[in-house]
Amino acid sequence: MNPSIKTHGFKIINSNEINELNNLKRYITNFLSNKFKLNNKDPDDVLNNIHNYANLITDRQANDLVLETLKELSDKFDFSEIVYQSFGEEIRNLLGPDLHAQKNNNIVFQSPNSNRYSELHSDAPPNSEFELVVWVPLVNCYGTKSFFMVPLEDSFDLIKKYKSKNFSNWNEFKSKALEKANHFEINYSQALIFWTGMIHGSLENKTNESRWCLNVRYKNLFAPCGQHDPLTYYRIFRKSVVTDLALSKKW
Amino acid sequence: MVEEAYVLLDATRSTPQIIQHQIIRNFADECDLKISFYGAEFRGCESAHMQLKQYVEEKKINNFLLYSIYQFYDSSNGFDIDFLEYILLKEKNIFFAAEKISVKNLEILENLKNELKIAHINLKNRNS
Repeated sequence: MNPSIKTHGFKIINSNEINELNNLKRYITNFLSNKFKLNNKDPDDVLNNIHNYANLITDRQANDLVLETLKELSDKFDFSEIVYQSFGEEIRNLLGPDLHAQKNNNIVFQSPNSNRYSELHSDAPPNSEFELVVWVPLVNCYGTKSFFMVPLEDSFDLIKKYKSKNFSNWNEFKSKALEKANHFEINYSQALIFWTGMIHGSLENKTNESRWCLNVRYKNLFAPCGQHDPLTYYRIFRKSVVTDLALSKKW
Repeated sequence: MVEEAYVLLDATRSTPQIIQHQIIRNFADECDLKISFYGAEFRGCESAHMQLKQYVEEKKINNFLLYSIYQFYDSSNGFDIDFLEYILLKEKNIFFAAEKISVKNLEILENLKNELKIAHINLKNRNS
């Protein structure tokens, strides 16, 4: 059975339109090519091998490069809009026509052998339990370059046991979670969409390629916002006709 | 052009004052505002905004920089949009440092209104 949000808490989906995502990928590639004076402008080659081209030795250098890239993109691209253009049908089906989107653009980067992998965690809380995460790789991801997710029932079971102090230490909990985890192969033009209550993470990237992905969050406009402040964390992304009428009430 | 601004801190001190000052100073720099005065409403009477009202009426200063837009929030009634409108009708600008919001005209306020109404619904839902 193919995983679904209802049965597994996650799903891999294919894009229905990829032009804007292609534009973003090309723009990042050109920015990096110019910055590091590369003759090669093949997006997959530049992104996958940026740790070599940029001679990234430390995590600090990698982080600075990502921050600089985000700054370059900030007033030119809206990741929530791009991801919605590519994967919007599924998001709309799951959350409805009234949507909040995360305010800030967010890139997750992991170079080979970096210690900056994402430790096992679930996003909610502090994030809203009414929120979906759309994880969009800009390069093909496989093995330790990718991402893992513990299916819904296993996530519930592990969190329950963790709270009941059934594990003597973090490593015991983590190895049980990894036994249950699904490790994904996701290609560019696909996305992993998942519910914020899921246990997930990434491993140390043992491949010889860098991972670049976008991370965008949506929730229904009227749903609780978890522990985040609605004004600083989200922005109104889509409004239905009825919501427009209700908000503009003049009587 | 750098313009003068009056600051009104969050008198409830729900965020420590030293942090409020840092965030306010950073946002003032971003908005080209030079802070010429710091104040805070009387504790327990914040929502009446008596000091702010007085400064707005005196017309000496055009810019008011508050720590947070939640200084205009009441958990039962939501954000005091009428008060924001009143400040703008007096041809003053109002800034909120924590949320990085600048309200300089009624058009901006019109867009902000929806965000504030939705935020109030979200916050009410959080507790239900």
